[in-house]
Amino acid sequence: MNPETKQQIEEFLYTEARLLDQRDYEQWVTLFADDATYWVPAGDEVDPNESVALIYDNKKRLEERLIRMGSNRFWAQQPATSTCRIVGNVMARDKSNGEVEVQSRLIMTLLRRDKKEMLSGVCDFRLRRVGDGYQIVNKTVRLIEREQHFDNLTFLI
Amino acid sequence: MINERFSPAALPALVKEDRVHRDLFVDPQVFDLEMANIHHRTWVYVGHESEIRNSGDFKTTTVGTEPVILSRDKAGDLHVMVNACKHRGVTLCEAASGNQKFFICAYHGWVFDGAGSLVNVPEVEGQPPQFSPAEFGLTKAPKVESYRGFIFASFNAEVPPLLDHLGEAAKFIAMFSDLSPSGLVDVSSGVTRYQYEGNWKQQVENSMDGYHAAITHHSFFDEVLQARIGRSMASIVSGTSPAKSVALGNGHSLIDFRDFDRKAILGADQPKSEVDWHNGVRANLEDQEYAEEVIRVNGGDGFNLLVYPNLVLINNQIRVIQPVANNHTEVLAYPALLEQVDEEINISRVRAHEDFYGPASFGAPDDIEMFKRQWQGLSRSPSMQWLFYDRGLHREQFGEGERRSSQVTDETAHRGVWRRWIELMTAEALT
Repeated sequence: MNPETKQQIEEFLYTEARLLDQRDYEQWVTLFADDATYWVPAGDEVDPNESVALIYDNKKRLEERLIRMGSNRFWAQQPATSTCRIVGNVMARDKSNGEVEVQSRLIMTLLRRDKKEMLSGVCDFRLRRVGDGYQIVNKTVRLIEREQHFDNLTFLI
Repeated sequence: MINERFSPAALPALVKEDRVHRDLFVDPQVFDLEMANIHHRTWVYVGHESEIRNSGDFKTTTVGTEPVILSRDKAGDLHVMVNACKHRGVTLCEAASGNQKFFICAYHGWVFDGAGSLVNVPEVEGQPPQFSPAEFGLTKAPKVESYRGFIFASFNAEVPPLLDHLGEAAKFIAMFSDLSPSGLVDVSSGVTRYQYEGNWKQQVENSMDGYHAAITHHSFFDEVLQARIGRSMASIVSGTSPAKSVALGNGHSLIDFRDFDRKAILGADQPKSEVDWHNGVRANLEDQEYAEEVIRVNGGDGFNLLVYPNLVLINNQIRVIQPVANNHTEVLAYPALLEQVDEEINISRVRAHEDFYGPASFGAPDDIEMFKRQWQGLSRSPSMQWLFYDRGLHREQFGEGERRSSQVTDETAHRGVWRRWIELMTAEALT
């Protein structure tokens, strides 16, 4: 992979993270392909069809999350969770089908009311080249906290 | 010293027919009394047989706040053992689940078998001559019984048999299980976990609360479903719904949606996998009228069942409520899979669980937010003396035994829970 492509991919990941931190979910959803999946496992599993997940969304369900985010009665996000995330350790390689496999590390600080928390994990992306840019075909986030008791994961990771 | 207000003689003044005093939620002494008088007196759900199918299988869980190991010994018998070495109290087993013949203390190496017997002590010649390993077996719940795969334990040797305790609730556990053509559900798809700052009784009563759903879950029932299926489903929990709030006796209770004909609204479009599944249910059951009743329970025309004090069955979910402290509660939620059905049926049950019950879902997080707001309001406001549970008192129907029933937005189920609470909390002390 040439350095320009690598840099373009890194900038794509930073943009994705920035849109989430800015709670610009409408723009964020447009980064996903129509056949995309978004998976946050609840354990060590490899098959979302055999195991319950924290999140396993298709594009339609991601768009349903926008309905909740836009509602004035989405109590779990009133007040909203503020997030600040750092994306790093980006590694990317081309796949034979023209897609790109990318792995990154995520560290994010969350703040809701007066409670500050941290989540960390490994993000795996499958990206598809579309025009001059990319679309997400799959985003998988394996949180190191995935087996802990959460109280609110209704912001997007 | 126990506050005299919480003595068995004084407690009834804090639980009236239509209201309950805030101290029963916010006072840590009440919590300690509850753990002794409720969670250690009656039956508590500890796990499902599909989690420990084979000899040597175990899982760790809690009875009240007490950490326990649920194990299946080499003879196949079930045991519930306190997860603390009898020597100095060190946690024996750190794993959530697994398979092993022995539990070995990592501190001094005492070895216990799957039935809790002490079978080896390193450097045993150092123990006094009268040392008897038989006296140092793990502390065990004297009663462990299961019904339809649901395993319950009690630390009270005098507790009535499990089926007497379950009473009317048994029928609904059976219906929940009979939706599987084998008559048993399976929890092998894992668990989602959540917690909140607040009291365990908030989750208990929320699980039985028809009144909140249209308000707390407005963004799902009205807004998301409007986009997804073209209509709101809030009518299922409205004041004109045929659904009911039911107290079954012994604190068990029900939101009964079975009279709400969801298929008449949504249509009865059935894929082949669903037809096959329902035929499997019919083939497994002799009573065909009952089989049709079970099939109607499928996916929403069903019920929320509370098996007091810590188990809830809702649609396709097994919910376990674990008290940690008076102001801290953990909840485990397992999708209940069906046996002998097409894979796509179980996949859709897992996705339905993620849709409403997980920590990133469209349902439970809004409930948890209400628990937190309720806890903030109750715990900080001494002027907020009483919580009210009077809805439907004027229109409650009395059935057989302790059964009472009213409209779904009423608080009949809640009152049944509080009647059981005061009964257990004022019963004679355990010896």
